[in-house]
Amino acid sequence: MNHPLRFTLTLVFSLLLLQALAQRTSNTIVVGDSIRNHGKVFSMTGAVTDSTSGLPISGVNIFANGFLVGTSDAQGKYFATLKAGNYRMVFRYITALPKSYRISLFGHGLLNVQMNDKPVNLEEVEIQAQGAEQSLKQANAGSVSMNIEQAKRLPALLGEVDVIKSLQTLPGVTSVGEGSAGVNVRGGRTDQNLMLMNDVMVLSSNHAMGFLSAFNQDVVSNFTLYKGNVPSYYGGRASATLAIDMKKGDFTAWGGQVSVGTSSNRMFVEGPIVKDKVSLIASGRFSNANWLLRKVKDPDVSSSEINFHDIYAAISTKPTKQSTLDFNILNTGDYFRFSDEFGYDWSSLVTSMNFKTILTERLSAYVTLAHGRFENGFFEPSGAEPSKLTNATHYNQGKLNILYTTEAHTATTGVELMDYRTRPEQLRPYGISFVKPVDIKKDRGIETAFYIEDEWTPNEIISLSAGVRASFYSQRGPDTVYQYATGMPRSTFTIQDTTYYQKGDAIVKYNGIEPRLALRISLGETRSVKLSYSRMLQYMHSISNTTSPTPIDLWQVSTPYLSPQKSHNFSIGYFQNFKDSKWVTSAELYYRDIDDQIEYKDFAKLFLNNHLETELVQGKGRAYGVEVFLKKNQGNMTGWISYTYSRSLVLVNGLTDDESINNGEWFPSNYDRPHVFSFVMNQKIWPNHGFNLSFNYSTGRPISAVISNYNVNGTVLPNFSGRNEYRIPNYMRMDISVEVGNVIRKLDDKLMLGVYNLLGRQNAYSVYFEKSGQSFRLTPYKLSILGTLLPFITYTVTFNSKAAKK
Amino acid sequence: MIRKFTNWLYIMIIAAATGCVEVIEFPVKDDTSQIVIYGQIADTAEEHYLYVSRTETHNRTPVGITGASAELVDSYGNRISYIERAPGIYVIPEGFVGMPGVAYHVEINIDEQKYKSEPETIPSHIGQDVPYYEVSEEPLESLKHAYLTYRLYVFANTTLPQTQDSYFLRWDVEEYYYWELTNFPDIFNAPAPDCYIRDKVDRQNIVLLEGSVTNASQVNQMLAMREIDVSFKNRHYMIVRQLSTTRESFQYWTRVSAMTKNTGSIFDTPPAMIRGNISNTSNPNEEVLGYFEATRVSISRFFTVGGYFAPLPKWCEFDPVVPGWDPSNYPDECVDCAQWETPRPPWF
Repeated sequence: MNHPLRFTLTLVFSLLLLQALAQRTSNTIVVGDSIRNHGKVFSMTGAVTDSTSGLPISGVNIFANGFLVGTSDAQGKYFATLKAGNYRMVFRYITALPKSYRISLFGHGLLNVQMNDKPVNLEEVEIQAQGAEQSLKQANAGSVSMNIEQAKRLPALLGEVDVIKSLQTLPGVTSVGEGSAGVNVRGGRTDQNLMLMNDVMVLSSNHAMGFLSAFNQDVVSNFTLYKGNVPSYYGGRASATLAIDMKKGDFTAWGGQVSVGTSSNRMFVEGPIVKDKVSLIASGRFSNANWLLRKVKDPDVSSSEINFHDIYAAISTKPTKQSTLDFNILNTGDYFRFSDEFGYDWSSLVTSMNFKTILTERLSAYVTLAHGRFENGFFEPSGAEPSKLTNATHYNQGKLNILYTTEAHTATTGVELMDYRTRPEQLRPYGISFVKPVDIKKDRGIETAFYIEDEWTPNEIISLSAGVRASFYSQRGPDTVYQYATGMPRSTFTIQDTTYYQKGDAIVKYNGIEPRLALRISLGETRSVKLSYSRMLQYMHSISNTTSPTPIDLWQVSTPYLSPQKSHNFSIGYFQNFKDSKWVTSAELYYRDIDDQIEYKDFAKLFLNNHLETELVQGKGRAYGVEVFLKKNQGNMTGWISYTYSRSLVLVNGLTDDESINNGEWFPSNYDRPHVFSFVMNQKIWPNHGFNLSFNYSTGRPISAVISNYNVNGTVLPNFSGRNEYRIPNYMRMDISVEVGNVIRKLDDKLMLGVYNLLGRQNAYSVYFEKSGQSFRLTPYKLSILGTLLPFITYTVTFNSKAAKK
Repeated sequence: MIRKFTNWLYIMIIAAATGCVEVIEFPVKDDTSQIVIYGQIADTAEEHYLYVSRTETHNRTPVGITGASAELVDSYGNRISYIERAPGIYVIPEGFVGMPGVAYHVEINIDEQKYKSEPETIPSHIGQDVPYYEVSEEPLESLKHAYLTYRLYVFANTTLPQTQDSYFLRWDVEEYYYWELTNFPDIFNAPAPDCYIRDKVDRQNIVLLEGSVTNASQVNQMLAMREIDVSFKNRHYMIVRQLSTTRESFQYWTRVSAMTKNTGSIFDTPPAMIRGNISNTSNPNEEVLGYFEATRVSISRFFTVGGYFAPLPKWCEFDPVVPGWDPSNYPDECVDCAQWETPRPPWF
């Protein structure tokens, strides 16, 4: 045998041996020279991919001798810094079999890891709302992640698993009540939350007036809510960011799922178009609630109609081994009509393209281009003047993000552009009608942001994440801007002049520097303290003076009279794990200060108004609270308890009474709920069944109450207190559900049975005051919309479980 | 089996979806009372009323204020005094007619405090109504039983003002009817006294129309609903009053309408105190409730007879079985009309 051949065979054999060793725990991978490099610090790096699809896996926790030393990023890459020595390294991911290696580390090492799916049923997936160690080790306080499998275990209204509602079981996340769209995070308005789907902004995504969210559980992978310190690569909202990651289609096999439920039917399919190169995932959900309405004897209800749908599709490609290119589309739509009296329709369309590439071992980049539109309408088919009012917001989004990683640093930088184009608000005749058509032109705004952030982890004790976002905004013509008399309240009576701007003219510019800081200090292996501060600016606002967002809310860009909302967010948290992270605990304090928070004058006229500034006032917001969290991560019984004490207050002190609220004193916001308690329990029942229970208690939301009444021309009128001086009764609800797997032996199926509001408690949806009979007094009434227990049932069949359960 | 399960399921869901409404105790702070003033001056020769009252704590009915002095003042400085007719009710007697194009305001003195309204000009434009009615038989269900109810809906075909100027309309519906008291046997064979009653109909329903929102020359709309009861036994007039108001008055009533329709839902306009156009010139910080409006009025009416469209219950009819023919055994409204009675109008 000649030397070249021997060399080649030796090399191939060595590589095969190394590969074999890498897949086995019993043998040891030796990296570097153990004699010369003793006592030094080295890095382990590599990429984690799915053995079947070859796709990178993000969120894999890497343990060295039991301690978390790193987590894979969005490209599946990981970095761990270790002292020279012998380690048992374990790679863990929620839906994959753990991989373990014995490594003698005496030099910088590269280890790529392929992970296999767990061959288990859904019921065996452990509850991991957030990796137990992650809560200790990551610098960012106040962020919570949830896997969709966990959300599926929570008992849900009508059996519809809901991303948004699931978050409300976690501390610091509330809503104003049943059927409200959106959530309030740490005392912020719903429009102060940035909602992202695959990094693309989604303006509105609710079904059935807010009872359900439009993200279909079948295609959601996981979601992360940044409550406190939002990383600098996210921006544009003053309160929080919700990032939802959608699944990609399987690259190797076709699979699917069909579900039949009490309020909607769902199906999804996924598989390779070109094996290992191009995959497709598509899902659809369609309401079937009209049969319920038909059963009601009230003719108004039985002649009503409610329809909704959502469709998601994505094509994922792998142009090279180092890059992926994805195309996504989400379309949601709703139609609700009450008898022939009134109705709403609204729809949302989001399309995007994401390109990700690994440039070098340390450098990667991704580019996102997106277009979105949210359109809605309110119609009155009967009455004196049948009409339809519509409005819409279109937007274009572009983002370039570059990620650079070294042993101690994970640096991110990039640029983001948002082009908001709010469409004219239109009133049109509906059918045969003499309504005068009205068009109210809306505004265009362009927001550009540059950001840079570095997470520095010099050692196991400290991790510092520091970033800054520089945002620049300009409102562009065409537009008409009114000038108001100086020192006078803005109203139609004080307009003094008008300025017309041509298309593209810069009308007003705002900009701001938004620092983001997060520090984690470990106090041993099981305890850490975290501090964070962030400043955030918001140039796009939802204009609504109702307690909860409605489907027909306007979106409005900042104008000369509508300054950006600006927040300062502070938080400090203490985190401790017990019994090998079986138990996770945390306590966080937060404080948020908001400038130019939007409020509304009494009886503000927001629709068909070309001078909204006469109806709006801007004041100050203040929110603070403490969040306590206790979670059990492992075992047959898992779950958590959370308690939040918080306040959310507003101050509006304008020039005149008309521009002040409650005499210019602090008052509770609509979503101020001081005490919120939540308990969630999931019990596995052998072999593949489960029992789930959740319990919620919270202080009632604030309202304005009738303090006296009077008579004007025969009409009895309520005389209301100052804004939000009273509260509706406290809220309490318990839900249960039972999962039954393999109902039909030959099928991979699951039956979910449950009861929402098990106690049948008549929780107050609202308190209102109405004249009763011939009495001239106004009587307080409590309205409960879910006044009794509400059962639900969902049956799901999965085809090719390997693909569908990925 | 499946069918039973399905039935159970939907019954449960329907029960839940229906929800429930119940009266609750809702304690509020004992707040200080406020002055309430409401008045209207119109281009009709009817009496012009001004109501002056004070709100009561614990959400009790407001109490009329006696001893106030009130004057109507026009834009030329002419003054007419109101006469106190009853506690809290002040009136300019029949005969005075407001003039379109002239501005009016009121000045009121209460306990040495001077209250004044913003001037309002009676508008020039008004439409014409052709009212009519429809009767509807509607099933109502309670938890225990179902029953039929009959309702009379008042509509109007309105010819709108033909003008390029802005105009603001509101409708009030009143009823006038003959109420038959119990005819007790009398040795002189004297019948029970006549009783005519005037009242507002569907007073919490406020119908408004802004001229700028429509191109139509005519509109047809439902103005009020009245449950059909024994008051329809005799001639029962429905009087439709179309009021042409100022922009400010229209805005005030738009807010009133928002408040009367408010159900406290999370999708409602947040409620608030409704500010009117009256202030205390002695103490500008005092919040005064109510409104004084100057309106042009167009009146039209129709009547129904005998309640032929619905079965009416027997009520206030003499029953010889009642021992002693004692009027005290009859409901008050069958015996004495004094507290409701109004003079018979000439057109009745």
